[in-house]
Amino acid sequence: MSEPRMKSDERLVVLGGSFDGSAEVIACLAGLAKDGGFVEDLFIRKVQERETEFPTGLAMPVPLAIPHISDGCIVPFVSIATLASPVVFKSMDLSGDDVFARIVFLFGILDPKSQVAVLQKFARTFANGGNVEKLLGSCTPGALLRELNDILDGLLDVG
Amino acid sequence: MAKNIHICVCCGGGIFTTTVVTEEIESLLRSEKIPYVISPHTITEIPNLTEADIIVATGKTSATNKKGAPVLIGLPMFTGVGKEEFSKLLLDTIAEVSSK
Repeated sequence: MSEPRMKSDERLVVLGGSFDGSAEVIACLAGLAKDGGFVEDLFIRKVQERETEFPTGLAMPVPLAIPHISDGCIVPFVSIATLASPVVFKSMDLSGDDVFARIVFLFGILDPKSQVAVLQKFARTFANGGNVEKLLGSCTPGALLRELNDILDGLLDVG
Repeated sequence: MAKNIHICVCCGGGIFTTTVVTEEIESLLRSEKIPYVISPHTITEIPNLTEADIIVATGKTSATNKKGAPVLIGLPMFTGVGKEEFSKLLLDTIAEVSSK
Protein backbone atom coordinates (compact mmCIF):
# COMPACT_ATOMS: atom_id res chain seq x y z
CA MET A 1 0.00 0.00 0.00
CA SER A 2 1.35 3.41 -0.81
CA GLU A 3 1.83 5.81 2.05
CA PRO A 4 -0.32 8.89 2.60
CA ARG A 5 0.22 12.12 0.68
CA MET A 6 2.93 14.44 1.95
CA LYS A 7 1.49 16.73 4.61
CA SER A 8 2.11 20.25 5.71
CA ASP A 9 0.23 22.75 7.80
CA GLU A 10 0.56 26.28 9.12
CA ARG A 11 2.36 25.10 12.27
CA LEU A 12 5.20 23.89 10.05
CA VAL A 13 5.81 27.27 8.38
CA VAL A 14 8.10 30.05 9.64
CA LEU A 15 8.00 33.40 7.82
CA GLY A 16 10.97 35.76 7.90
CA GLY A 17 12.90 33.74 10.47
CA SER A 18 16.29 34.92 11.76
CA PHE A 19 18.80 32.14 12.31
CA ASP A 20 22.46 31.88 13.10
CA GLY A 21 23.56 29.12 10.75
CA SER A 22 22.09 26.14 8.94
CA ALA A 23 21.98 23.88 12.00
CA GLU A 24 19.75 26.40 13.74
CA VAL A 25 17.25 26.51 10.85
CA ILE A 26 17.15 22.72 10.69
CA ALA A 27 16.71 22.45 14.47
CA CYS A 28 13.79 24.89 14.33
CA LEU A 29 11.98 23.15 11.46
CA ALA A 30 12.65 19.65 12.82
CA GLY A 31 11.43 20.83 16.24
CA LEU A 32 8.16 22.03 14.70
CA ALA A 33 7.78 18.63 13.01
CA LYS A 34 8.38 16.91 16.35
CA ASP A 35 5.79 19.12 18.07
CA GLY A 36 3.29 18.22 15.34
CA GLY A 37 3.88 14.48 15.77
CA PHE A 38 5.49 14.05 12.34
CA VAL A 39 8.87 12.75 13.59
CA GLU A 40 10.63 11.11 16.52
CA ASP A 41 13.73 12.51 18.24
CA LEU A 42 15.87 10.28 16.02
CA PHE A 43 14.92 12.39 12.99
CA ILE A 44 16.20 15.58 14.62
CA ARG A 45 19.64 14.07 15.23
CA LYS A 46 19.91 12.21 11.93
CA VAL A 47 18.87 15.11 9.71
CA GLN A 48 21.62 17.27 11.25
CA GLU A 49 24.21 14.51 10.77
CA ARG A 50 23.16 14.03 7.19
CA GLU A 51 23.44 17.76 6.43
CA THR A 52 27.01 17.74 7.73
CA GLU A 53 28.00 14.74 5.63
CA PHE A 54 25.85 15.38 2.54
CA PRO A 55 24.74 19.03 2.48
CA THR A 56 21.58 20.10 0.67
CA GLY A 57 22.12 23.70 -0.48
CA LEU A 58 20.98 24.30 -4.06
CA ALA A 59 22.38 27.26 -6.04
CA MET A 60 19.12 27.93 -7.85
CA PRO A 61 17.83 31.30 -9.15
CA VAL A 62 16.61 31.77 -5.57
CA PRO A 63 19.22 29.93 -3.47
CA LEU A 64 17.64 27.41 -1.12
CA ALA A 65 18.26 24.27 0.91
CA ILE A 66 16.34 21.01 1.19
CA PRO A 67 17.40 18.97 4.25
CA HIS A 68 15.65 15.60 4.18
CA ILE A 69 15.85 12.11 5.61
CA SER A 70 13.66 9.11 6.37
CA ASP A 71 15.10 8.00 9.74
CA GLY A 72 12.67 8.74 12.55
CA CYS A 73 9.95 10.04 10.23
CA ILE A 74 6.41 8.99 11.24
CA VAL A 75 4.30 10.86 8.68
CA PRO A 76 5.71 12.27 5.42
CA PHE A 77 5.79 16.07 5.62
CA VAL A 78 7.49 19.28 4.53
CA SER A 79 8.22 22.20 6.85
CA ILE A 80 9.31 25.54 5.43
CA ALA A 81 11.19 28.62 6.63
CA THR A 82 11.59 31.85 4.71
CA LEU A 83 14.62 33.72 6.01
CA ALA A 84 14.97 37.36 7.04
CA SER A 85 18.59 37.21 5.89
CA PRO A 86 20.30 34.44 3.94
CA VAL A 87 21.75 31.49 5.84
CA VAL A 88 24.80 29.63 4.53
CA PHE A 89 24.37 25.97 3.58
CA LYS A 90 27.02 23.93 1.76
CA SER A 91 26.12 22.98 -1.80
CA MET A 92 24.50 19.64 -2.54
CA ASP A 93 26.83 19.21 -5.51
CA LEU A 94 29.63 18.54 -2.98
CA SER A 95 31.76 21.27 -4.55
CA GLY A 96 32.27 22.78 -1.10
CA ASP A 97 30.65 26.02 -2.32
CA ASP A 98 28.48 28.10 -0.01
CA VAL A 99 24.82 28.58 -0.90
CA PHE A 100 23.19 31.63 0.69
CA ALA A 101 19.74 30.15 1.21
CA ARG A 102 16.71 32.46 1.35
CA ILE A 103 14.22 29.65 1.96
CA VAL A 104 14.57 26.18 3.49
CA PHE A 105 12.33 23.18 2.85
CA LEU A 106 12.80 20.37 5.37
CA PHE A 107 11.32 17.03 4.33
CA GLY A 108 10.52 13.82 6.14
CA ILE A 109 10.10 11.10 3.55
CA LEU A 110 9.22 7.49 4.34
CA ASP A 111 8.92 5.76 0.99
CA PRO A 112 10.25 7.97 -1.82
CA LYS A 113 8.62 5.79 -4.49
CA SER A 114 5.20 6.71 -3.09
CA GLN A 115 6.12 10.39 -3.32
CA VAL A 116 7.66 10.53 -6.80
CA ALA A 117 5.06 12.89 -8.26
CA VAL A 118 5.27 15.49 -5.49
CA LEU A 119 9.08 15.24 -5.29
CA GLN A 120 9.33 15.87 -9.04
CA LYS A 121 7.05 18.90 -8.73
CA PHE A 122 9.20 20.22 -5.89
CA ALA A 123 12.38 19.74 -7.93
CA ARG A 124 10.90 21.75 -10.81
CA THR A 125 9.68 24.41 -8.36
CA PHE A 126 13.17 24.87 -6.90
CA ALA A 127 14.53 25.70 -10.36
CA ASN A 128 11.78 28.26 -11.02
CA GLY A 129 12.87 31.56 -9.45
CA GLY A 130 9.48 33.20 -10.08
CA ASN A 131 7.62 30.52 -8.16
CA VAL A 132 10.00 30.62 -5.21
CA GLU A 133 9.77 34.44 -5.12
CA LYS A 134 6.00 34.06 -4.83
CA LEU A 135 6.50 31.92 -1.72
CA LEU A 136 8.92 34.48 -0.27
CA GLY A 137 6.32 37.19 -0.81
CA SER A 138 3.61 35.39 1.19
CA CYS A 139 2.22 37.41 4.10
CA THR A 140 0.95 34.49 6.21
CA PRO A 141 1.83 30.79 6.63
CA GLY A 142 -1.59 29.90 5.20
CA ALA A 143 -1.00 32.05 2.12
CA LEU A 144 2.41 30.43 1.57
CA LEU A 145 0.91 26.94 1.75
CA ARG A 146 -1.91 27.85 -0.63
CA GLU A 147 0.58 29.32 -3.08
CA LEU A 148 2.86 26.29 -2.76
CA ASN A 149 0.07 23.79 -3.26
CA ASP A 150 -1.10 25.68 -6.34
CA ILE A 151 2.42 25.36 -7.76
CA LEU A 152 2.46 21.64 -6.85
CA ASP A 153 -0.93 21.05 -8.50
CA GLY A 154 -2.54 20.23 -5.17
CA LEU A 155 -0.32 17.20 -4.46
CA LEU A 156 0.35 18.35 -0.89
CA ASP A 157 -2.11 17.49 1.89
CA VAL A 158 -2.45 20.80 3.71
CA GLY A 159 -5.35 19.66 5.91
CA MET B 1 18.87 -8.99 -27.96
CA ALA B 2 20.59 -6.01 -26.41
CA LYS B 3 21.76 -6.46 -22.85
CA ASN B 4 20.11 -4.36 -20.17
CA ILE B 5 22.20 -1.34 -19.20
CA HIS B 6 22.51 -1.20 -15.42
CA ILE B 7 22.51 2.35 -14.11
CA CYS B 8 23.10 3.04 -10.42
CA VAL B 9 21.82 6.45 -9.25
CA CYS B 10 23.55 7.78 -6.15
CA CYS B 11 22.85 10.76 -3.88
CA GLY B 12 23.65 11.61 -0.28
CA GLY B 13 20.82 9.72 1.33
CA GLY B 14 19.45 7.77 -1.64
CA ILE B 15 16.03 9.37 -1.11
CA PHE B 16 14.92 12.65 -2.64
CA THR B 17 17.36 13.47 -5.42
CA THR B 18 17.85 9.83 -6.38
CA THR B 19 14.10 9.30 -6.72
CA VAL B 20 13.59 12.29 -9.00
CA VAL B 21 16.72 11.61 -11.09
CA THR B 22 15.78 7.91 -11.46
CA GLU B 23 12.32 8.83 -12.71
CA GLU B 24 13.76 11.25 -15.28
CA ILE B 25 16.34 8.72 -16.53
CA GLU B 26 13.69 5.99 -16.78
CA SER B 27 11.52 8.29 -18.84
CA LEU B 28 14.46 9.06 -21.17
CA LEU B 29 15.44 5.39 -21.59
CA ARG B 30 11.84 4.32 -22.24
CA SER B 31 11.46 6.96 -24.93
CA GLU B 32 14.76 5.86 -26.50
CA LYS B 33 13.69 2.19 -26.21
CA ILE B 34 16.89 1.27 -24.37
CA PRO B 35 16.54 -1.80 -22.11
CA TYR B 36 17.70 -0.93 -18.60
CA VAL B 37 17.94 -1.83 -14.96
CA ILE B 38 18.16 1.11 -12.57
CA SER B 39 18.72 1.09 -8.83
CA PRO B 40 19.01 3.70 -6.02
CA HIS B 41 22.17 4.00 -3.95
CA THR B 42 24.15 6.45 -1.84
CA ILE B 43 27.35 8.20 -2.94
CA THR B 44 29.38 6.25 -0.37
CA GLU B 45 28.54 3.01 -2.23
CA ILE B 46 30.13 4.17 -5.53
CA PRO B 47 33.44 2.24 -5.27
CA ASN B 48 31.71 -1.08 -4.61
CA LEU B 49 28.84 -1.00 -7.11
CA THR B 50 30.03 -4.07 -9.04
CA GLU B 51 26.75 -4.42 -10.92
CA ALA B 52 26.92 -0.92 -12.45
CA ASP B 53 27.55 -0.23 -16.13
CA ILE B 54 27.14 3.50 -15.50
CA ILE B 55 26.90 5.46 -12.24
CA VAL B 56 24.96 8.71 -12.02
CA ALA B 57 25.83 10.72 -8.90
CA THR B 58 23.98 13.87 -7.89
CA GLY B 59 27.05 15.50 -6.40
CA LYS B 60 30.63 16.02 -7.47
CA THR B 61 32.67 13.14 -6.21
CA SER B 62 36.21 11.98 -6.60
CA ALA B 63 35.11 8.41 -5.88
CA THR B 64 35.85 5.93 -8.61
CA ASN B 65 34.24 2.59 -9.20
CA LYS B 66 36.46 -0.46 -8.63
CA LYS B 67 35.17 -2.05 -11.83
CA GLY B 68 35.72 1.15 -13.80
CA ALA B 69 32.08 2.15 -14.45
CA PRO B 70 31.95 5.79 -15.58
CA VAL B 71 30.59 8.26 -13.00
CA LEU B 72 28.37 11.05 -14.41
CA ILE B 73 27.06 14.04 -12.46
CA GLY B 74 23.28 13.95 -12.79
CA LEU B 75 22.10 16.99 -10.81
CA PRO B 76 20.67 18.53 -14.06
CA MET B 77 18.10 15.72 -14.07
CA PHE B 78 16.93 16.90 -10.64
CA THR B 79 16.43 20.57 -11.36
CA GLY B 80 15.84 20.36 -15.10
CA VAL B 81 18.60 22.95 -15.66
CA GLY B 82 20.98 21.46 -18.25
CA LYS B 83 18.74 18.41 -18.70
CA GLU B 84 19.15 18.27 -22.49
CA GLU B 85 22.95 18.30 -22.27
CA PHE B 86 22.96 15.65 -19.57
CA SER B 87 20.54 13.45 -21.54
CA LYS B 88 22.86 13.56 -24.54
CA LEU B 89 25.89 12.76 -22.38
CA LEU B 90 24.08 9.81 -20.81
CA LEU B 91 22.94 8.40 -24.17
CA ASP B 92 26.47 8.82 -25.59
CA THR B 93 27.92 7.03 -22.56
CA ILE B 94 25.39 4.21 -22.89
CA ALA B 95 26.37 3.81 -26.56
CA GLU B 96 30.04 3.73 -25.59
CA VAL B 97 29.54 1.19 -22.79
CA SER B 98 27.32 -1.01 -24.99
CA SER B 99 29.89 -1.13 -27.77
CA LYS B 100 32.57 -2.56 -25.48
